[in-house]
Amino acid sequence: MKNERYAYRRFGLFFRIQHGLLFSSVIIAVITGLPMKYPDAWLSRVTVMLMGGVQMRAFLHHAAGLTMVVLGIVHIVYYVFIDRRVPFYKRPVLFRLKDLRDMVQHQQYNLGLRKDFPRMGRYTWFEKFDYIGVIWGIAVMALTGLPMLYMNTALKFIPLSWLQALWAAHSDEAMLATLFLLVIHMYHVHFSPERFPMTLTWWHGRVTREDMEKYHPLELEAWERKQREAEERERREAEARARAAAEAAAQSESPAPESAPPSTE
Amino acid sequence: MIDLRREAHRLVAATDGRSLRWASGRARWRGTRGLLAVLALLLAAGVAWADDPTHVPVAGGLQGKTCYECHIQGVSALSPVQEHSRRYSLAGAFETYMESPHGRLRQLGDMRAPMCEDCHFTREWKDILPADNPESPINPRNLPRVCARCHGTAMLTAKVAEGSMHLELRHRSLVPGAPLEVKYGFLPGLTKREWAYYIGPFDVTAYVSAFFLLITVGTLGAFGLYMVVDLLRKLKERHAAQDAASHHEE
Repeated sequence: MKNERYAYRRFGLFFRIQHGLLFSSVIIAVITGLPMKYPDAWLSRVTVMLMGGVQMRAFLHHAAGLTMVVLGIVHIVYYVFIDRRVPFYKRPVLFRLKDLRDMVQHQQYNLGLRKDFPRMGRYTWFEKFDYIGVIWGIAVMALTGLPMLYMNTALKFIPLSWLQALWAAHSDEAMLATLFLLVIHMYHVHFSPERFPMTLTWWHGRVTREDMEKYHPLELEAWERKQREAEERERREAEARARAAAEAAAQSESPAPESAPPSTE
Repeated sequence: MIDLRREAHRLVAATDGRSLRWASGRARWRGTRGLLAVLALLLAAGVAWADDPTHVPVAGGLQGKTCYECHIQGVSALSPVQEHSRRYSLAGAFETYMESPHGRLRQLGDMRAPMCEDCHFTREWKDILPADNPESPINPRNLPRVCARCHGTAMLTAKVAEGSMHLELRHRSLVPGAPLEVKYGFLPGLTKREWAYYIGPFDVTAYVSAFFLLITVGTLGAFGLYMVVDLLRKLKERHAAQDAASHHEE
């Protein structure tokens, strides 16, 4: 039985599967990648030993990385070329000027300089930032990771020094992404007083009415307007059906018109 | 004239993983030249060797600390004198190796990852020589063949010589080396060694690192500040709601 508190479905199954694959592959990539960044740490050696040695570490890291790359390609291809319900440039997830305003107003509200919380749509400014961060992160990790994975081929085209620059970018971007996820994303979905200990939206794709009212009032209004319109349409259709039925009934109940008298001619 | 450095390195290779005591015994059988080589090793290994002659295993990888024992640790133990340090020390070589992918894998326990002697002292090139020497395995002309021994024949055409494995990521700078005299025609003033260690119009790794440092500090700083303020605001709202509820109950 569905939890009635979480009445508003925001994320479908396909999106939740993508998110599940993404966070699983990111966690594996981080755990298997950090020992290479800090090989002199005792924890790195223990981690590598527990996962079955350096070769298994490399295999898991590459598998997680390739999963992320495939996921990124599938995501872009699906939402840009296949799912045509909304044109790409009108996608609500894209960053707009209003998000910048929302961000400023959110800070003003937090600092007590503004009374009302900004009214946001389907995605809040910080959710969009998360999303752009993921797209940026996957792009950087793929562009820097693939040449290292296929080193022999890459070194035919680029010098070793550029490969080392790619290594630095890969490692630094990984650290940025890990810290962002551990600090900011964790705060939004786990440690914020509204969410603690965690929100299960990633699992069932639903949120509460309070959540919708505070963070997505414009989406809630649009959703309710659509509901009202649908109900109104349904009501009108039901009325029309009832009227038609009544007319049909009235016609069947009234006496049949007398047939014309036979011609005397 | 006998080149002590060359003899010492040859002796290290000849010990084949055995102790220096064995090596010195073998050297005695070879006469004066061998003894001179041992003397050179003694000078290089210094106090560390003198304290415990059996403790200096050679040609045995990182655990044996072949090159490290003499050139890094031995030097500091032997003499703080600048002149000696300059002569025997491979300044930064060990640290930069440890920061390279090979060094990192070695630290994590991958015994397949090459050590100093795997690239600088091979069966094909039996002497440790600077990169500008055509006989050196790390000469840009020979380096692809050295890499190909582990990474396959694809390395023979790879641009491995255009860069250095001894890249110091911590300080984000390249290890400088003596320039080769062979000049590139299309780049006047640039010698081959400079080209080998030259990574473009600017130090791309340094700029990449600076860029990521900037966005990491900027993003985390800004969001960290937002997070703290947001948390305080939410806690304040929660307390206010709890107070209102308790007043309502009263």
